[in-house]
Amino acid sequence: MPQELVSYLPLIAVTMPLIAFILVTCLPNLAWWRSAWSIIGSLGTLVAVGMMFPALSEGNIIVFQMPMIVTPLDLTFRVDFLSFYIAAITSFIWLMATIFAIDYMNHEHNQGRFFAFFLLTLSGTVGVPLAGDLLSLLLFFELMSLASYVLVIHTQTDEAYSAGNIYLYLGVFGGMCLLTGIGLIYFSCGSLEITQQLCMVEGVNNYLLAAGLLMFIGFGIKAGIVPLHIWLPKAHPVAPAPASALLSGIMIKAGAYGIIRTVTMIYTPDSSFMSGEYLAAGVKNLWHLVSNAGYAIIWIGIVTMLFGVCLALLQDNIKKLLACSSISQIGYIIMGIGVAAYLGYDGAMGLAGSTYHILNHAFFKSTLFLAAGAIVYLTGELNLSKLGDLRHKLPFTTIVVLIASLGIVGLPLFNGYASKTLLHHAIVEAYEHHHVYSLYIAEKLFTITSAGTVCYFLKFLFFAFWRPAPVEMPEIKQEPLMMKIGLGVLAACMLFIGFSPNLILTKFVVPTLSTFTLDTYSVNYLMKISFWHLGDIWAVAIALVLGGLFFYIAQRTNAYRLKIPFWLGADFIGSLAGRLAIIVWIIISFPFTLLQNLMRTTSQYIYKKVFTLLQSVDYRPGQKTIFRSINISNIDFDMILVLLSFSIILIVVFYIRFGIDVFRL
Amino acid sequence: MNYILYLPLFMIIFPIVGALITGIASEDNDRLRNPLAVIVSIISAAAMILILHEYVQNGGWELLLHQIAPGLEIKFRVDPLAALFGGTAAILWSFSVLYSTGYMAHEHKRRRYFIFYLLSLGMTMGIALSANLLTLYIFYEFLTIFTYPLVIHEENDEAKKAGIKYIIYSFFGAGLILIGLIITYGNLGTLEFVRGGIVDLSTGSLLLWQITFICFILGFGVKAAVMPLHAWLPAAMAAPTPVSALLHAVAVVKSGVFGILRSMYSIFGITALIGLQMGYFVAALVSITILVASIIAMQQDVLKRRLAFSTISQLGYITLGAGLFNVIGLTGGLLHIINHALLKITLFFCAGAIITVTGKKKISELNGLGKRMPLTMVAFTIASIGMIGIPPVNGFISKWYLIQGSLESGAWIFIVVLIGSALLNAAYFLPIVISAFFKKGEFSSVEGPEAPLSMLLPILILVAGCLIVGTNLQLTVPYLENIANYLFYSGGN
Repeated sequence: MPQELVSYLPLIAVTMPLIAFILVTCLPNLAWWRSAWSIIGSLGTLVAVGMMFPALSEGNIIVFQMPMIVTPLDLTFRVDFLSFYIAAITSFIWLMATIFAIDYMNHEHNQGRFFAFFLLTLSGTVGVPLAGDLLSLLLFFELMSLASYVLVIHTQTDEAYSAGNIYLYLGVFGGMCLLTGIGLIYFSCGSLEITQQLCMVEGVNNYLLAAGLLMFIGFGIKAGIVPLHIWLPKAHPVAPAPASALLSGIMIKAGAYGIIRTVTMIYTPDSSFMSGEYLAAGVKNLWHLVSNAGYAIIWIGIVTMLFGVCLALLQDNIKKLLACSSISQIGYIIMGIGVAAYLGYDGAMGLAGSTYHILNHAFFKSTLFLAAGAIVYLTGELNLSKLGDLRHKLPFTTIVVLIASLGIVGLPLFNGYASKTLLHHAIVEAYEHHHVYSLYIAEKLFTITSAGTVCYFLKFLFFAFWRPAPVEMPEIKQEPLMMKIGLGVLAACMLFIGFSPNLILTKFVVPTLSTFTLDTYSVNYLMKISFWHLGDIWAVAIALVLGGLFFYIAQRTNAYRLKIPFWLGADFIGSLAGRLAIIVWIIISFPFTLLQNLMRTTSQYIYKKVFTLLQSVDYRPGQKTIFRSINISNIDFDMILVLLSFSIILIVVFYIRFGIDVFRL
Repeated sequence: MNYILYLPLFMIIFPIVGALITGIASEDNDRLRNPLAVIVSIISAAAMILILHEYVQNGGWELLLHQIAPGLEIKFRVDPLAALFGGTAAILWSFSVLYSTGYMAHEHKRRRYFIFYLLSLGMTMGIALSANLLTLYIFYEFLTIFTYPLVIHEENDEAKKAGIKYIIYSFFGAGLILIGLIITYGNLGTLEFVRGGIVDLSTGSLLLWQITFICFILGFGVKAAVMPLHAWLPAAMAAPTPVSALLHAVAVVKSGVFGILRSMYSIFGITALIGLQMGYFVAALVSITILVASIIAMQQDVLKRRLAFSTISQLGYITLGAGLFNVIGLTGGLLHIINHALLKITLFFCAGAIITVTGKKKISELNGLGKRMPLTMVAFTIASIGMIGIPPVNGFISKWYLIQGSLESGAWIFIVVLIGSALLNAAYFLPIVISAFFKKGEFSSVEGPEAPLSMLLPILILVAGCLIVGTNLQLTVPYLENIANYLFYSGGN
């Protein structure tokens, strides 16, 4: 039976970066000071999170509570293994990105601000998984959104501002959606704890349905699911590389984490309901609801995957390509969550696939963004059409990128393979569960997406690293030490994860499922799963061959020259939506403007009438009009004051002397 | 004999006497007047704290000054609502006077300004502590008169127009209140504020009581800036900033809200209110106010006018909380009295500091101000975040209670209003912050001193107050829940 241990560790994990933030803000221009505190802050978080591991690996839960602070309930932390898992990934990659940033930021302005907000964002991001109730989660979520805005607009170009605006306002909108959803849940359930809510079994009313939808939208904006992704391809590339790495690698996972918690935890029945021979009607209805939602989420995930791939294929800028790839990869994670919800009690495979993919994607995507940062730092160029032959010029970066890319396409022995295999198993399982034909199509689309992933990474590798340089490049320096450390450690970790998928699965991924309502049989099945079946490798091979074929055809037909048709581009749709919003705005505000003008005119008219009337009154005989306007400055107010005050004092003294009735109520 | 029991009277007399004493200093003698004014306001605040302490220790008490006729009395009472409004206003007043000493240093007619500033304090205390509608009405009228010289302080055409507008609107509202007052007295023979209300709907026709109710709501609604009657508030932004800050974000407008609360819960009482079936009328009126004022605020370029429209919108939250007719919603509304007062006074103080240091009044001129006045703009940012209702700052908590209250009353539409307003708040506050900190402007290269200490200190203390109140809810929530429960008592006195 899991115990609840009280510990300060979650609080320390959140406050370490906050303290470092304050210290960095005090002396922002001192290079060693801010570097040291950045590293201490993120290292402190990592250590605090790591120290929770022994207790959690025994199946315990760490809780901490600060009464009546910030939220109407408590500021609570509640760390189960999933929270730990996300927090550990976050703080580890954050540390690596910080190390990378110390050298990288040399060529940027305003470094003090960057490092300060880097730390502040860490505090929010690591707080999201550690939070114990939805309001505390919201608090950290908002902190993350607002603080990371400063990172997005760091370059302060017009492009950055427009990206930042979309990022900020969609973030605030998402936050308000979450707040509403949380308010509805609190009203209906009277509790905000992030665990299986008992009231869900008593019947999901309209409020709770709306709450679920709003929470999905709120978290979905952060995760970048289609069609709420519009901020992502804009905001991720404009930030400096370490920030893009974390935005793409870590922060969108906060959205995915929220969806996992909402869909597969809060809206599911507690495992105690699953013990009997027959399920109660409420429990059955709830599973039915979750299953329906899961079906929708699977398709949202599939669409996001495909859409991301299509966008990525058409990008010419490395960072934009990687950002679109993030949309696609988050689609995998969402699809896994969808499968988990669809299968309900038997959904262990989908959930494990998703959590595993969160780990893998965090590693390879942040590595790739950091590598892109190294490329831009050393060559000053991010356009694929202008780069080439980097494998000879930057051998270290080439190796790192190669490892990460092979991971992302899911080659066996590299780190994406295991999670993609699990997700593939999951979608197959979902199809075999009810033999819904549309899920069969979904499985095929999954393969096509994988092929597409192969294709755009071949494009990336070929254009940037393999082909001869199209233009003569200036002499290129080698990577500075700190960059090498950051990239090297990440690459080594990826190799380790890739080589021992079963170890990661049994030690880290499966324990995250312990607090979910899942069939123990399917969880145990996961523990014994082997990744080296011919069928799984065959699936990867198909994707590779298809992807290679796509690439070859595209290369032959010069398809990469194709631009996105303008009417499909985010800018066009965005400007269309903007114009639409302006038109709607004008239509909505027109009556108000009219009303305002009407009121102004009538009131002016009334004033005029009233004052003509007043002015026509002859106050003093012999003069025409004296009443121009009330002008107190001409009156000797001091006199009036003296008289007034003295009279009041006299009255008061009189009454005090002769009786004011004072009585207690 | 316990002299603390006479303090309510002292709270009204002392600022008047203090104003007189402050008037001793001649026009140019700032070194005498400024300390005097600050001391007077601080003593008032201290006296108010004593009253609060006595109230918490031993409960409320009454003070009958004069009986004009049976049922018509000049009478004061310390009860929860009085403690809430009086405490908030008196404490913020002392910060505001301190701020004024810095802000007014370069203005003319300082003597008149400080005299009326302190006189207004006395009148506001009179409103807060009054025990019946008559007393409240008298002080309410006096507050209008004494704030008029503050509104026209600049003495230019704009200010004079604003002054006329202010007087006419206020007296129109007061006239409506007088009508309501007469009807009430005529039917009931008393105007006493009684827990649970004095109105018995069976004593007159329902229509009559509904008219009375509308008279009160619209009459007090003038000062509370309910939408069709709000136009004086943006116009009155012609006043010096401390006046805008205190009178038009805290004292005058809150006295309107206070009047609405009094007439709703102490005159009518919850039973009669439900019988009147006017809850949705109030809530709908206020919802429109909240949204429309936010929309208009987005179009303003003058910072103070934007803040004024934001005030109109935020006052709507309080009235909405009162109109939801349940304890949670009312708690939210009462919370927002404190929270909005703290946040808005901070924002206005920041705006005033910006005007003093740089002379810029328009938002479009504020690019790059973050480097020039970092502390002020950080305070502005925090208060803006609070206005939007994002957790660590105190505006969030009232919004949370209002959402719960809307759900409690079964009207989810108000959630849409609240969230929509929050988004609009974000849309008109965040651009200011963004342009101040991240846009390149003419200030970016110019390093210069921050605002003078007498202005910076109140800003920093108040913004710290926002954060403390926002993070330590046991400071406010239990008390306000008690007040809401007190007001909801329906068993008669």
